Amino acid sequence: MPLPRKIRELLLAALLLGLPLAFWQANVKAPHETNVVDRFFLRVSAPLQSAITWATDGVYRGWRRYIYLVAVEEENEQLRTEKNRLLHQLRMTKRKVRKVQRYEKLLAFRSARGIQTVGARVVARPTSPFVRGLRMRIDRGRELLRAGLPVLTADGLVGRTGRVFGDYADVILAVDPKSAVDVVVRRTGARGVLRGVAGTDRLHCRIDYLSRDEEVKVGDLVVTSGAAGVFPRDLPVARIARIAASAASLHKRVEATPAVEFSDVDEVLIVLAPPPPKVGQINEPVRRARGLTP
Amino acid sequence: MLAFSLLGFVLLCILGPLHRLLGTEIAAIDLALVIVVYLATKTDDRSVLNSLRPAGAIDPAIVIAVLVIGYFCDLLGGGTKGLHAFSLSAVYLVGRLLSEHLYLSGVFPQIVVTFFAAIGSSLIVVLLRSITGSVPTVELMAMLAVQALVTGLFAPPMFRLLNWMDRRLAGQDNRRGTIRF
Repeated sequence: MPLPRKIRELLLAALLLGLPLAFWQANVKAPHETNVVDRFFLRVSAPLQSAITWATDGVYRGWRRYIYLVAVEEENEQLRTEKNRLLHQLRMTKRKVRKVQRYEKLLAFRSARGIQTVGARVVARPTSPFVRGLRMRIDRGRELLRAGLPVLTADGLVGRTGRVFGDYADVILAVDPKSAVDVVVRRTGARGVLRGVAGTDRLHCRIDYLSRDEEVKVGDLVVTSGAAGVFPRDLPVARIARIAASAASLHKRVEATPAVEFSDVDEVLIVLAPPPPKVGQINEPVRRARGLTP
Repeated sequence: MLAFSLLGFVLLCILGPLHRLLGTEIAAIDLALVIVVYLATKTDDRSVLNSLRPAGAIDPAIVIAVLVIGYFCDLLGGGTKGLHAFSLSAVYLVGRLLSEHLYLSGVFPQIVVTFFAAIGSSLIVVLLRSITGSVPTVELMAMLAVQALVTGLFAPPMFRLLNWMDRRLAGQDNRRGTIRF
């Protein structure tokens, strides 16, 4: 039997006011104060609330992703700027790391050699292997240096100091035509004199007075002999790049490429006083190569 | 009624971010209230609402719709659940009681009735919140007054939209001879 309209409407009004009020009360109470009815309301409403929250989140996500894009361009610009700043920072850090690694290498080299050196920074140098710049300038001057001192890196011989003026000094590279370095081929002990070649397109050198009977091959490392007393012995100078023998000559014609990449040199060591060679060790590289020393 | 509830949900979803975008949160329009006022006061014979009930009567479908819209308000507003549901229910009941005596065919009456409904709804919310220890400030009351005014001003176009929707639904029902929820 259907309820009279008046009663039905009163029930509906009570439901309309009572349901939200009960729900509100259940939500307002602290968890330990809730009773069975409150817990029932919370339990019943939880899945519904979760579904509606999911739907609302979907709408908001769509709104933010496809419609509300006002700040996106500005944010993109900020992020791009930030990215560039961080990339710059990364480049600087990598540069510093490389610098530290070079310093470590130089220090290790100096400690291993036991020679008295002073460090210097290169302030001007040949910028490219295709440009003929045979001078380097370093930031050490008269106070410590004089002309003719060996200049080297951990990779090998760079050259020797030339003109010294004020706080600076020029370095004559080992590949300069005016330069001559007494060298030996480390593998065989063959001796020669390394000189720069006056080419126009690259930094390279030749080895003079290398006997035609000596057995050398392309790729052999050429080191300082230490014989002239100018350069410490056994410093890498170059690698043999080309060999030509002539029947009419007593010597081989040998071309070599420098062991040091001059355009990459940033710091150098200048040998102030090489350790005096012990008697019998002056030609040690030669003796060692020929099996004369253990 | 499902259409009205969904409309309320979509409008509530859109309006929140829109207010944040425009920086007009202080004068937020209470669209849920406008829908509830419309549901409570509609007396047009061609309305789908009136096909569900005799004049002045409370219809179960509309009761559910009001509860759902109130619940949406609570969820999307981030307040205590049940607060807006209760205030909107109260507005609906009062509106339903007065519906036969209210004249809502012009723009001005719509603004005035919606304004007072918004004030009443806000007062219920403030009262309930004060029970739980939240003391209302003068700034809050002023903001609620501004929001009620803006809601009132926004009521006429919203009523037109709801009316249009209502007539479309009534037309469908007449064609199909069924009542759609």
